[in-house]
Amino acid sequence: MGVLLAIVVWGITLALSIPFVTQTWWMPEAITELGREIDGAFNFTLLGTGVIFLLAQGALGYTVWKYGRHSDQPASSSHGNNFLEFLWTCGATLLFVGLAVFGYSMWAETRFIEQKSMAPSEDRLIIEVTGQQFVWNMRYPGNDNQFGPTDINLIDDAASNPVGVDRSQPGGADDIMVSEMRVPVNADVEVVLKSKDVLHNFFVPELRIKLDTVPGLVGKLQFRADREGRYEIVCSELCGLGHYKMVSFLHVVSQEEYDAWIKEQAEFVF
Amino acid sequence: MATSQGAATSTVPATLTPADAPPGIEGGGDFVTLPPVREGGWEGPSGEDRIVQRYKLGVWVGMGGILMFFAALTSAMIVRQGLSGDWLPFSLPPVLYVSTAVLVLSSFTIERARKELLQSNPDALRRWVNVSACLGLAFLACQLLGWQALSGRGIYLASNPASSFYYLLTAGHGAHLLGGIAALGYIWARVRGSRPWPTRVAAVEATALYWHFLDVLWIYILGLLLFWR
Amino acid sequence: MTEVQVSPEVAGYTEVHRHPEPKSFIWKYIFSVDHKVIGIQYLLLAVVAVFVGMALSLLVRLRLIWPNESLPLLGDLFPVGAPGGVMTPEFYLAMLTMHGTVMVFMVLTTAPQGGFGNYFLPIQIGAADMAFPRLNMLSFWATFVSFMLLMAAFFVEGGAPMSGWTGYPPLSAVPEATVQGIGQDLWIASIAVFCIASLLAALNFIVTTLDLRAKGLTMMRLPLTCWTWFVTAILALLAFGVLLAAGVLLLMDRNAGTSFFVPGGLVVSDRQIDHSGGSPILWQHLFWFFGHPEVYIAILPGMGVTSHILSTFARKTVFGYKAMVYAVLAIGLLGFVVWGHHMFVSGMSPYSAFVFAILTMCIGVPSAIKTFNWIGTLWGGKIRFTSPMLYSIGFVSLFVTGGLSGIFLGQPTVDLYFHDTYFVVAHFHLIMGVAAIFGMFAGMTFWFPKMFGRMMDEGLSKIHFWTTFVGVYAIFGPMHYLGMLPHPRRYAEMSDVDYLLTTGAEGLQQFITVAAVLTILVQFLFLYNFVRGIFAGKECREENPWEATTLEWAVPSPPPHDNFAGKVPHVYRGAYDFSLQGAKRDFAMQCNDDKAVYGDQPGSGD
Repeated sequence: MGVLLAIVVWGITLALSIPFVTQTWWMPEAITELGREIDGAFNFTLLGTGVIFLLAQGALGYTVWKYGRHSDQPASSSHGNNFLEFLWTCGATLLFVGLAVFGYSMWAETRFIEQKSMAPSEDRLIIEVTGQQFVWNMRYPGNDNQFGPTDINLIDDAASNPVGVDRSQPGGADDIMVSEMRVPVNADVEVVLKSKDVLHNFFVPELRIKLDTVPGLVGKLQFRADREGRYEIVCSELCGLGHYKMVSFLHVVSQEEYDAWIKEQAEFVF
Repeated sequence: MATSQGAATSTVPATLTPADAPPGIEGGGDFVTLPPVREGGWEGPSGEDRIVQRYKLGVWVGMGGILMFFAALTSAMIVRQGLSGDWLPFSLPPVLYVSTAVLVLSSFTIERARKELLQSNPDALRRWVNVSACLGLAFLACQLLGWQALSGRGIYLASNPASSFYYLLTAGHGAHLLGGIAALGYIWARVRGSRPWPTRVAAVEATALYWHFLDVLWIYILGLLLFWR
Repeated sequence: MTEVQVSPEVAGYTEVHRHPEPKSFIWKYIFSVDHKVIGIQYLLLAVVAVFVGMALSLLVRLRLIWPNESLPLLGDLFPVGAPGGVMTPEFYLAMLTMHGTVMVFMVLTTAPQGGFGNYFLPIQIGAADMAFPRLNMLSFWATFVSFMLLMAAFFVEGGAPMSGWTGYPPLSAVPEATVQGIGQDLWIASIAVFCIASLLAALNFIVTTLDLRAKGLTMMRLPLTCWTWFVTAILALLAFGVLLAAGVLLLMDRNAGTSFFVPGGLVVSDRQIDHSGGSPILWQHLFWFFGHPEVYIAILPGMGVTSHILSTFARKTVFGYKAMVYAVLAIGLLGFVVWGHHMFVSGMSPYSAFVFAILTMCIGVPSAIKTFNWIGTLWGGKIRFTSPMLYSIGFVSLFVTGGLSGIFLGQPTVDLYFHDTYFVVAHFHLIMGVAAIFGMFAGMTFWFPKMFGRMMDEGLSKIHFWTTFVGVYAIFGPMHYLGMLPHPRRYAEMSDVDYLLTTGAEGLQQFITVAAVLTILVQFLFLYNFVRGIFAGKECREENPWEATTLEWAVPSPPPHDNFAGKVPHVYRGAYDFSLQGAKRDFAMQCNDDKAVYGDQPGSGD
């Protein structure tokens, strides 16, 4: 029985580990510097936990194998070993807490300090993203580089004014509303996250970042995508019956393509 | 967790605690006292004192749970107030001071009842239990008057976060006090009965402790409503 | 009253007063105050609930692989939720919400603590009953009412709630945001009643452990099962009050027009919602302040049972008993300060997120200590592969697997990618779901002869172990890979996400569903074995069939009405004295004095 159990435990351990080694089902390639750093943290964690995983399950299997055989030896009367307890307590503390501490600067960059080599905020492309059951509304500031004021009473989905931009005010007249996000490659982008109704979550797997859109609060994310392409934005916070179809796209395009697109969009306003 | 090694428990006179009292027998099974010979791993007193200890320990532990409930409401209140500009403070209805005085007074009458029990004076015990329960009801009546005064000023549960918390905290405390009044009613009814009641000291001690706790809890809530507007 | 003999194992005892057994059926089995009857009532409630929860998960799994196909029978059973046999997305979300709620509250919280704890805590500490028997009865019946309220949510207009077991507002607080009617209110009411029931039960457990231990049973001689029930009760006492408060606030927001959690300026389907100034994040803080300790409420008793059984069947004392106790206490303490790791992407202050990350990693340490000590307990033992032992070893394996994925999720940067994906689903199902349930399987097969005087069939139990052990890994292992893609959780279907259609998510989902269906089928084998065991299992009147050491094995099976028939044994030693040198047998019961253990020679025991 012990042999069988050991083989099953080891078999499951290997079966679980192999796809992580062959990377059969894997993360899409990161398209930001920060994303690649996060991948580094992930890989390091995977290595550390992988080793522990193999050792712990291996030891479990070995133990039931070795001590599950019939023998005339009585069981050992050991009550424990303080040195061993001390050793693995310290080891686990160093590894686990170390991981958390070393993640600090990366975490800081995703959330509350300026990212390395990011342009000052006035030079960034700022896009306001408003979640709504079950669509994403992207607002670009337009030619004046300024968002106009919004008014809850002007909200009208049918009239293509889902966030209630006050077109009569300066700044609001040229705001562009679109449903898919388009940014130039290598541009510093700041996403301002809002919600009209319930919680949603702005998540682009290739950027490696996500943040809830919370009604009543304003969230901020920054990124600089360095690879052109079409990436999906998926809602990652349960928002109601259409949660699964609350999907949009992030298009990372060349500067020329972006300029042409934004010019075209500006003509549609009014 | 506090374990109540209170001095009061050691003063229980033996005359009131017939160790060989017939066990409560009826279908549902009554509380049954373990006789004094029982000793435990936990080095404490035995017999009747032990039952008293156990009931009081139960109340102490229960206080932990109740405190967490009110701590959650308090932190929600502080967070909610700090969040947005829609918090409108209002002056508390003056009747709250009357109710506070009534509740503090009732703590003294409960103490009196406890003393009567220890001096094996069931009639006086019943009288003071009565008085305490009436004071408790009077307190609740004052709280209702407070609600009436507020709603008279147009301040309802949903008017404003400040008023929402006012109604909730007073209602939460009132519900717990109702439990205390029920316990007093139970004591009152059992003292009248002729059958022996081995756990009576424990019941009175535990109820008194709970009542004092509600008293202190109310003063805390009043302070919160007064000073955290 | 028949005279019950004291077990020959008992070296010394204290005579205590016996109280008579209730005669009528209703007082004996329905409104019983006997902790053993109440324990079995809790267990039966959990068995019913676990099959309800499993049926719900089955529907969830079927919808995921056949989102548009018409399934037989469903259309007749759920004309609204599955018109023509095709499950609607809102029906999917309702099933998912109810699956989580039923499993977390009615199974993982009731069975290990309310069931086994109620039955065996008093016996293991040498008490005739819980400290407050009538309160105990009240706790059970309140739990029962709570379960009924939850089930009622299926049968009201609008159906069961669909905002997840976490009930995040505004989705849960604004009726316009869902198709929900009264279902969500019933859900909140059910949780509130459950909170009260759990608080009363926790009070009872704590006082019982502190006050009713037999002579000689110091805290450091307690079986580890009792330690975990005790710490679980403390967690429940401090956590459920907070959930109750949050539930009351949410109910007010839904029905009384207050704005605790609902912010102003909401526009749902072009309609303005009349609320102002509330904070959805406040709910998350209150909920997870309860929710994280709840995870430990579910798993700690499983840890206790595992430690107990590993030691018993390895014929070896628990490796590092004191370290185990301190680890349980540390987990209990740290469990209260890590709730923020559920909120790394919620918009919570990033500074506090960092603090929560450090504390979360700290809680990995006592968990690691426990794992090492379990392996240390087996090391050098003389293992007997009974079915409870197999389940316990399975528990250790699942605990390791489920725990390690937590290391990814505890780091905020890595969590950014995995949060709310199937990686999380895999993580918490393995560690708090399946591992905890393996703890229950272990407890059930271990204590079955004591509870019913009969055995469950060992052969059937072993078949059930092997298939379930492989089955749960087949279900939850691949979910890690889905999380890598990343497949967001709570998606009714994947057809709208392009990358899922191209990266093999569909195949994985199909594999998982097949594994889930097979694993669920095997559970009926356990149910059959359980029911058959009660009525027709092999009779086992021996006091101590497993040659175990704790006090419940020194009373008849099943134990008499007040456990020790008025003669409470004295305790002379720790809970896990196996294979003592110089002893006559390879185990020494807690009620054996040195003379009984070593004979007349001077003993070498401590």
